[in-house]
Amino acid sequence: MVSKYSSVPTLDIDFIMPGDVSFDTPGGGIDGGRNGMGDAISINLSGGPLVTATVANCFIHEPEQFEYIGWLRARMNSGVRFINVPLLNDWYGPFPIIGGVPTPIIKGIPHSDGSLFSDGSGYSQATVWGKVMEDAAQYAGILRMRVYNPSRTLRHNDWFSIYHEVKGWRAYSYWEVLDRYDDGIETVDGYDFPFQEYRLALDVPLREAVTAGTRTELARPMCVMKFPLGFTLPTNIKGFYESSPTLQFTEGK
Amino acid sequence: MDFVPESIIEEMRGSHTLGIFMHVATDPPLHVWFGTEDIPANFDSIDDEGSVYLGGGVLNGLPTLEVLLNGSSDAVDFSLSGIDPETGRAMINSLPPVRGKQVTIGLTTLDDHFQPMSSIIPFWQGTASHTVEESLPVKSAQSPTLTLSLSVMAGSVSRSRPSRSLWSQPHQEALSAPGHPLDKFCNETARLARGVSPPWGLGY
Repeated sequence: MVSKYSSVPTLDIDFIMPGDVSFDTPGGGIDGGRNGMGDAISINLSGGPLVTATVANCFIHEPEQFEYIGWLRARMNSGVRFINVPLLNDWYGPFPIIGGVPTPIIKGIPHSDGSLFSDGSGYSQATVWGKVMEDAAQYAGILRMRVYNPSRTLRHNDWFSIYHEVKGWRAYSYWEVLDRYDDGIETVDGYDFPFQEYRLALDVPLREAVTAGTRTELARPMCVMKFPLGFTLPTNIKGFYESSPTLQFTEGK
Repeated sequence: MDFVPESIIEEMRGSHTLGIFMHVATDPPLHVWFGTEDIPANFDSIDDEGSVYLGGGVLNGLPTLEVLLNGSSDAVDFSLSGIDPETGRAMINSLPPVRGKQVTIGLTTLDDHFQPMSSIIPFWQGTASHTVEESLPVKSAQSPTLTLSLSVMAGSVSRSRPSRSLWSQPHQEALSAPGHPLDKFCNETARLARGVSPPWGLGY
């Protein structure tokens, strides 16, 4: 069986109402020689980090939420199946402020005649997205990317994700802006989109080669993940109708 | 150019990212490196352009690599654990032709953008002997790990070459190259038991 990274479901992170979400990129290291203070040079042997996520203290109360957690347990325990985990960057990503809050995704977009779907929902669309501008090889650490509609410049760090044909959704972020190119306006299908363009140094090297023109996702970027070894998600019920599970994820391999 | 380029040595003086690569000359060759994900890299004149080394999980135990010296050198076991099924499959698929193949270990440093700073610098070569797949039983609270090992011989020490385990004259004659029945190298070894230092020579 070949591990399947693409076409996997996405974790509905709003639905399970986490109290605490964290993302990390740990890398393995060993010590080199030590000086008199016990300090050492570090030698990173893992050759780049992995993406991990913890979704802690979820508020599970409705029966449907219990069903959902049960499905996660059934699907994900033993860590051989994968799920796309969205990284909650809503608050600090380069998103426009709409109604007082940063809005990565606009929801409730009606049909052309102004009507919505029968359940009252509409289409949704990312406010900010990006595009790869130059081909990059597998394990490349530098990416030239154009970002559309950003509300600020890219300067310290943002998460984004790329959908790879084989490796599925993978999340990346940058640790340095190497170059900034001229801003501009690109017209797509008659609409004008202002963009900024950067050359970025990635903290997670590309898991698969990308070609120019590949879309990158900045709104709720996703990473295909599994439960780490030794972690299980029990169906846990407190006082008949409540639960607050903590989920751990590590990048799919 | 130096065997180890100056820039690599300079990089290793401080904190750095080290890549350790293993190449087994099976057909097709097996490429594994001790990083987390697949990386394109190559040994000069061993690999074709565009070889991709599989991320073999985290290095479990890098054995002490010994160089054949005066005919004595251990077999070393390379172990990988935390192997994903794909890598495990690739390794297991290459089991039958592994024996006797050349194993090359090399290293290079990675720069800030995770690119190898040179071709992989080979620093140890051996001959593959056999593989070991091992998953030790664990207690209920622990998680089991799969460990694959490859036993590799350094130099000319392999099972196909008999060793002089007895150091007796008949043994020596049996092992001696054909056409040298007068090899008396071990003729006097019986005297060792009496505490005498026998002459080691041609027995004339």
